[in-house]
This record gives sequence, C-alpha cells and structure tokens, in this order.
Amino acid sequence: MNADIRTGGGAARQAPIMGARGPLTSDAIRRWVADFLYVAMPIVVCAILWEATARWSGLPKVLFPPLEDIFRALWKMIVDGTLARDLQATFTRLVVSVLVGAAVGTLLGALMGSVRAWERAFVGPVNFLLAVPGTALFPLAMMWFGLSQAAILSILIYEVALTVTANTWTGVKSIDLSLIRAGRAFGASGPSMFWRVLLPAALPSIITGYRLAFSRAWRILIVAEMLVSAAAGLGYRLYWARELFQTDVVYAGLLVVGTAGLLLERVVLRTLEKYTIERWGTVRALD
Amino acid sequence: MGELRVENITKRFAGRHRRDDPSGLVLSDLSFTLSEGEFVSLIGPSGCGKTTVLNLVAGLDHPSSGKILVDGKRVTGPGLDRGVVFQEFALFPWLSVADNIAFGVRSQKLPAAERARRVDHYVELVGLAKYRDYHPNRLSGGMRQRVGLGRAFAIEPSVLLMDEPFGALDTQTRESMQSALGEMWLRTKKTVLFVTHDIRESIFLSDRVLVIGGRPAGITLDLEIALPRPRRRHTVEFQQIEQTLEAAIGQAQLQ
Repeated sequence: MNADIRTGGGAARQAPIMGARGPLTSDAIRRWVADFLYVAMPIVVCAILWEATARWSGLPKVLFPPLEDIFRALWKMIVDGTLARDLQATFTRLVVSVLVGAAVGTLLGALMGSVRAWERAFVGPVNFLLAVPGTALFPLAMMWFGLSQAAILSILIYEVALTVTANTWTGVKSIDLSLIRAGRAFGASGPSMFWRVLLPAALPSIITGYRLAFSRAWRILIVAEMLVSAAAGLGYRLYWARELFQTDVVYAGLLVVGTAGLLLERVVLRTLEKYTIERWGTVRALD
Repeated sequence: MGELRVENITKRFAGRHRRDDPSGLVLSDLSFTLSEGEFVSLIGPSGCGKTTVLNLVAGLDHPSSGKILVDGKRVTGPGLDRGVVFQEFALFPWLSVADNIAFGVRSQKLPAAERARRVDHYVELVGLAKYRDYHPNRLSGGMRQRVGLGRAFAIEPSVLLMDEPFGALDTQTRESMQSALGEMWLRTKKTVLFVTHDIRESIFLSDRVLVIGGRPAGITLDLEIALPRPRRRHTVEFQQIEQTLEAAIGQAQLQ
C-alpha cells in the first residue's frame, strides 16, 4: 500500500492523466512528440543499418534482401489477400486457445491457491509439467491428433492453461491476509470469498500470468503452424517461403509476426491493465 | 440490541511458549460486559492479548474455553452483527470508497434501493461524500481509515470492534480522527469495543476503560470515565485519570 500519509485527512492525490491543463497544451504536445521519438528512433536506426548492410556488405540478396524487396513482398501479400487469410487463421487459433486456456488456468490456479485439498492434489503434476518444454510435446500432439488444427490448439490450450495456473496459484496464495480477514468479517465465505475477494486481489499476478501465457502462446503458435503445416496462417507462410527460398517473404512474414504480437499486447493486455490494476494503484503506471 | 458479554474466556496458542510459561496460555478466565450504546476501551501493554480478545469477539479466532454472546447469541465465527475496523485499514483496493463501504451491506442482501440509501448515508457520515468514487490508492491515511469506519458502521451491527484503528496514523491525524469518531458515535450511539495502547485516546473516547494485564492476561482494572462530553483533552481531571491508568498498566506489566 502507498505510505503517503497526510495530516488532517484532507488532501487526495490526483491520478496522473494527461497534461495538467488538458490534452492540447504545448506541454502535452511536446511530451507526445518526445514519446514518439523515443519509440521511432530505434526503428529508424535499425532500418538504416539494415539498408547499409544489404547494399554495401556484399552479402547475397538471398540472405539479406534490401528493405525495398521486403516491403514489396509484404505489399504483394496484402494485395492478393494471403496476409488477411493468414492473419485470420492465426488469430482465430490464438483467441480460441487463449480464452479456453485462461479460463481453465484461472479457475484451477485460484482453487489451488485457496483450498488446501486442491493444492495438495495438483502441486505435483503442475510442477512436473512446468518442467517439460511445450515444444517437446509437439510430436505427442501430432501422434494423437495428426497434422491438424486440433494438434495446434491442444498444445496452445495446454501451455496457456499451465502458465495461467501457476501464476494464479502463487498470486492467490500471496494475497495480503488482512484482505481475507476483512472479507470474512464482512460476510464473504466460500464462493463469495472467491469471486469478491480472492480473484480481484490476485489480479496483478493473474494478469502477469496472462501476459506470459500470451507471449508463449504466440511463439509456440507460429512454430506449431510451421511444423504441423496447417492450411493457412503466419507460421505456415514462413515455412513455405523458406522452402521456396523466398527470403524476402520470410522477412516480411517475421515483420508481420512481431508487429502483430506487439499490437495485440498493446491493445488487449495494456487496456486490461489500465482499467483494472493501474486504476486501483496496485501496479505503478509506467506510461 | 448491542449487548456484548464475554464470559470466562481462555485462549491457548499451540506452540506459543515462553520460558516462564510453557503452557502457551495467553488469556485466562477473562470476563466483561458491554451494555447497549457503551463505548469501552481495552488498553494494556504491547503483546498483552488485547488484539486476541478483539479477534475472539469478532469471530476471526476461537476461544479455548468460555463463551462470547452478542445480544444473547453465541459467537461461533465472523458475522454481520459485528463490524470490524482494522489497524492496517484492510480496504479492498479494487473498490471505490462507496463500494468499499457497501461491501458488508451487499453481504446483507438488502434490496438495491435500501442498500444505496445506506451507503449514501454512511459515506456522508464519515465525511467522504466528495470522494465516493475515488479508489483507496488516491486517499491519505486518515481518509482510508474513514472508509474503514464507514464500512463497519454501514452494516449497522450490534457491536463495533476497533483494533487500534488510528495506530498507523501520525499524531495530528490521529487526534482529528478521534474527534471525528467521537462525533460519529454520538450520532449513531453504537456499542463500541475499542482496543488501543494510547491511554489519552481511550480516555477521550470511552465511557469505560478496561485494563488488561498479567500473564496469562485478565482484566486488572475496570474504570468508569466520569468526564462530561464533548471531552476536552487538557483538563486536570483528564490528567488524573491518565495517571491512574498509567499506574494500572505499569502494575500489569510487572506481573
């Protein structure tokens, strides 16, 4: 809890929002431009280095295509619709497995963190499974489900559920005891304690679990799509581009993968954080 | 409504041993009664067991023997007939001021209109109407404890239990909160059991002061505070009572 004690019990702190006098003051504009430069600078520097290497290092075009080729490949993917199809296929798999895995993981983790019987029953299996890398289970999934959508989804759901379970479990276990006592004192018990106190109190850890699960799932998804060669998807596109030595497509695909992952994180997870744990002050606002 | 009877409670903590007392017995044959509308403080040296007594009355812990009765009904666990105010505030950070105060009221399953009326009333009682939509992270320490008080008052319990509620605040805030609590109590006339180590605080607020002491602990003094209300802190009578209580606590510590 913040230890900002004031005398007289009078003043309250204003949560940091925009400029002190509104969004369009010169102060706020200057800050916005500065933020933009901070973000843009590394990108610009990388682009310059890339071009320089591509043109003047003497490396073959196949290994190091200039930016022009990469963007031309990207444009082609956009125009002939393959990018849209791939994004849709990949995102669908991601959304389905994250939703299912997160639901299962949150429930199981919260039960493990609050009911001793559940913890005793699952601590062994969970720790065992945490030690096994998800990608090592690919052959297993492919044996069971063949080269199909189900193989990809099963691995993703498993990974997401496992990560979310572990983080939710520790999160619920480390809830400040005084909050639980207050919950009991004011009429919460059993299921109402679970929904009204445990889950909200553990939310910072739970969201951390979602972040980890999401980034793991994204990376495993791309690899899974490459291995299982499903009919469409970003990983599938990367695989085939490599097979056909279309390195410009490979780089374009990687660019899309990274950007999509970044945007998802910014849009979905950051919004979730902003409207919950940052507003509540349980996590410091960093931007 | 609002009668508290503590009868012959003992509390033994397993594993809590002292060299001079291997039994782990913290409280022994402790009894006292609060009548409806009384404000009673429980004071004593640190570690004497006063917080333990409060936890037992709150139902957050169980006595090893003896019984506790609120309005004739036996205490077997936490309940909405008792409202607790915690030293560390224990506010729910994901809820606004109004929703924190409403938490216990929600547990009472009142119709929505009645619940809203109650919440509004108690938000106003604790003086936080302007801040009702703020989250605790934006409040100062004194304001946070006002929320804690509001949350306990709002369930309109038979007995209010306060565990050193102003212990975490600085001196000035503490004194202004004592005055604020005094006013809230006058407006609601609730039965209050108030644990503190601050003698002056206990004299300022209470009708009676119980001194806990000894090992294992019992009530060593039950003193009525015959000062007029509103209380003034710097009178001769106030100081005399303070000296009496200091002596009693000093005695208790020696035992």
